[in-house]
Amino acid sequence: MADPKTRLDWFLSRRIHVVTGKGGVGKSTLCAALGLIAARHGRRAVILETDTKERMSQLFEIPPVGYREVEVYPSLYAKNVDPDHSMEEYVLRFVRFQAVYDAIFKKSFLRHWVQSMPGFREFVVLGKIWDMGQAMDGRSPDYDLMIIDSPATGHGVSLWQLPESTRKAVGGTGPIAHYAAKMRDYFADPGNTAYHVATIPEELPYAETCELVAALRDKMHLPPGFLLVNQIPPAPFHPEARPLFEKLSGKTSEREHLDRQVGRPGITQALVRAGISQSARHAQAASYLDKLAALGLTTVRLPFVYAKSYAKTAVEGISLSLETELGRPL
Amino acid sequence: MKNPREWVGGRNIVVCSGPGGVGKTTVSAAIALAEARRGRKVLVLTIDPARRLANALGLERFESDVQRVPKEKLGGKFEGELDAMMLDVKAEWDSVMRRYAPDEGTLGRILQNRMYQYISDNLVGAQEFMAMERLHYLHSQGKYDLIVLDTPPTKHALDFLEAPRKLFQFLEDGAFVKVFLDSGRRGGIQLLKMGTAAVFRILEPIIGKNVIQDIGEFVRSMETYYEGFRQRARATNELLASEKTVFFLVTAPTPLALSETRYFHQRLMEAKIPFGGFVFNRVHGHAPGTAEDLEKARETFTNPETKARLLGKIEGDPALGREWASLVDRLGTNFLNLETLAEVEEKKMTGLSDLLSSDQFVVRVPIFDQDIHDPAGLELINSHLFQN
Repeated sequence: MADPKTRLDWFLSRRIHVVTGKGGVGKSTLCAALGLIAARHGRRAVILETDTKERMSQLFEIPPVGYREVEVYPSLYAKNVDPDHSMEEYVLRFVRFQAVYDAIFKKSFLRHWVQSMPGFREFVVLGKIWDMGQAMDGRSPDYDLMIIDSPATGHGVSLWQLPESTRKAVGGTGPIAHYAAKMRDYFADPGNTAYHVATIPEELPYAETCELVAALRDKMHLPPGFLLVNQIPPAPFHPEARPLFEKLSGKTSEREHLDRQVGRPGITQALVRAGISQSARHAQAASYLDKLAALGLTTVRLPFVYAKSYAKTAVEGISLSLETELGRPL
Repeated sequence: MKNPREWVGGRNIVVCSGPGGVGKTTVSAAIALAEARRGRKVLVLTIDPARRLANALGLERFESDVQRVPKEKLGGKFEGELDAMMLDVKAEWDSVMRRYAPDEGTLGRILQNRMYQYISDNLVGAQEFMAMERLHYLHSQGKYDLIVLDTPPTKHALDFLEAPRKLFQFLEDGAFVKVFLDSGRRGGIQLLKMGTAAVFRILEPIIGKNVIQDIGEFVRSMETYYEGFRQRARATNELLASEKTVFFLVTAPTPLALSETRYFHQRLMEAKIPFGGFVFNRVHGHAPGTAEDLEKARETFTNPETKARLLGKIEGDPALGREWASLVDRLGTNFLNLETLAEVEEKKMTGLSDLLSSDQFVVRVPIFDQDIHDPAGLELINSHLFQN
């Protein structure tokens, strides 16, 4: 493929997309929106969740998503990569015989021991994702593009660090070290993978984003993707109008005069205060957007969505505004 | 209904749990500050990976050990004390191993062991386990009247309750590795004849021989610690389920946060953990005004007389006059947006409140124009959290 010109081209040219960030900033929704964009551009895409509690069913208004992938939208699939199923599939590739697997992992006293080994379950989940990634290189791949809804900051960093910490733990040699190193290199390949950081323009998420970017990009050397700044409060009015409304808010007689004309006490203040608050939040968000820009990542900005139900329609709406944003040059 | 003040006042441990990104750390800091102001000796302990608590308490950064928050930074004088600590998982492991080391030799061996380094190196669950160890240690020292514990986001709340169990399982089940290695060293052919040897032959190519030896060594060194770990974990679990403790679920009225909160509430109930109530943070309140009122307000605001008066008398920027109609429209749209938000939030919060029993509370902390990131902001939260 020719050099990507827009963010969208670039997005479609990478096959593994990891979305991480602070809890509550909308990672799952952004994964869903990215998936929709990929699907609309003719890619077979799959959203992978790694948590006990999957969210795609809520966002796409479908029954709970399990280990078996389901089509949530034409050409878009979702799968919950839970450790138990992953373990069976992944370990079987080494053990080769179901009977032997059963003997060790189902019947043997070893089962508890192996499963209770810290990090083992997460390692297996990563192994499964790696496996799926490699399958995309095959001749008739199930998917063209993978979107991974990564755990929030701290746990996310641990997860992506796991191949390297496992490699060190086993002394750098032997089969596990070998696979861990390959896995590490695979997930760190800038031609394949992009780590997108989701955030919202507020003080504490901003601080956490800086730490996260430092860990992923500067310490772990993982290829950076977009900085997805979500839930930006839209400006209620031009900033120049704010002093006017602030003055009005402070003039009781004027407000009461207007209230009487409307026939609803307090309406003027309610309208004006809502505007001023929103304006303040917008201004604050703008200051964090400036600071976030200093991180030097390709920044994608998404407005706050006011919707009565936060499901399929809202996700579609978000994916459309995201796509517009991605249409900009790299 | 018992209000938050009564719950906090009567307990030694307050655990703030809930989904990520709802201001849990901030609420924890606020509760700690309020109780210190009431004269208690308080510690706020965060195990959230991000170092955010410092900002809200007006501190530059955290040490990995207990740190006194200077009162002058908190504004005003009070009798109590406020300490803060951010858990550094790696440092905590080492300090636990030192604290309970049977002898220097064992300590040296364990700190050198690769398996130990791997396990203590910030893996999922280890952090919660260490928080429990620290909580036990601080509580048993008896230096504090109140410890406020801020936990990681909901989805890992299960780790928070289950992490110690997982590690014990590993140690218990790992004991056979040690037996195997010991017998191997003594040339114990008998054991090799048993199924274990066959299992190892299969496992070895997968995980490597040296790994099995490392694990054996790890399990052997940990043996002397094991009983202590188990006793402390049991004591901590009992403490968390006792009348000395209360859990608050801190959440925000967004759909995803609330569905996680519902799930975690269910888990708390199953685990029979004492639960105080819900703190809804960043709530958009309703303002008076119907759609009809808004339409009338728009007419009123845009009529030429009002426009002239507002722009003139209030001394607004004359340039605003040219786009006055659209300005008024946007004011109305903004109001409706926020009302939509308030309506959605209210419905969701009511649904969750239905889960409560009679002595549990619901408090709503409104969204503020500015982020909370200093002591004054914490006081503002407290004015809502602890209002009568």
